[in-house]
Amino acid sequence: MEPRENDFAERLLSIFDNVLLTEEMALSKGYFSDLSIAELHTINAIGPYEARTMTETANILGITIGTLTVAVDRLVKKKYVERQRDSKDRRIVRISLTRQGKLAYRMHSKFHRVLAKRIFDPLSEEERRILTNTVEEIDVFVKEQYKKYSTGEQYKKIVRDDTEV
Amino acid sequence: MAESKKKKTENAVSEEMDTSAKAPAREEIYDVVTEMLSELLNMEKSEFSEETMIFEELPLDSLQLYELVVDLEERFDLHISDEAIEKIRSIGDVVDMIHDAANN
Repeated sequence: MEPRENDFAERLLSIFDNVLLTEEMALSKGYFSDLSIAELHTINAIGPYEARTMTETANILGITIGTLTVAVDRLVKKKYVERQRDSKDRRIVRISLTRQGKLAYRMHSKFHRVLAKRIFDPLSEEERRILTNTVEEIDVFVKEQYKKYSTGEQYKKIVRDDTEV
Repeated sequence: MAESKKKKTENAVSEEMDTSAKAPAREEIYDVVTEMLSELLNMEKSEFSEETMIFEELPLDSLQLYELVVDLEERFDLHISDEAIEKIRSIGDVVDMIHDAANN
């Protein structure tokens, strides 16, 4: 590997590690210190508006209903999520964010926007276009690699993410 | 006392909204926004104006701004985008943001 490629690979991994680390530290020191990163991802998958079914949410996260049930139980206990029975079909349970859950969702998405803004601000329109395309290509490539190792359920999530973009 | 005052205002606002299928008037939005800010910051409504700068003149942190946004979304049954929130500077901007979202 060329020295420049080596440096690039190290930077890429460093960004990945530090974004996660920063998110975790911001969580532990912030208003939502009782939430883990995994719980925040569940909150993000539920979203701030329309109530979702358990199946929809499990599909978005690429996890089983059983795993999601455990996560939602914890979030209900912590008062970030609430369950309601569908008014037309009582067999269907829908989940939605409480006021506290919506606040956690908003604060978490702010972190991502601040990061993107910081990267974009000093760049020209052309540089932003090139960077966006390059990052998209990296994303597609990494997902391709992930597909090779993932289970059927995780694979479905990747395909869905790709079609939603 | 404060609780009954809050309930009275909430009822007044919801009654006004129930009697009209139209988007809320600007004055009505201003009334709700300043009522919510008054609750959040423990200040009097008379201390606010359309020109009050949210971040420079009020002790509002980013969590409280999101509390205001989430409560306004609930009250007026609308969605407020992150881009719209980033443009907020004054109380008048908040009122415009809700007015625009309710009319689109």
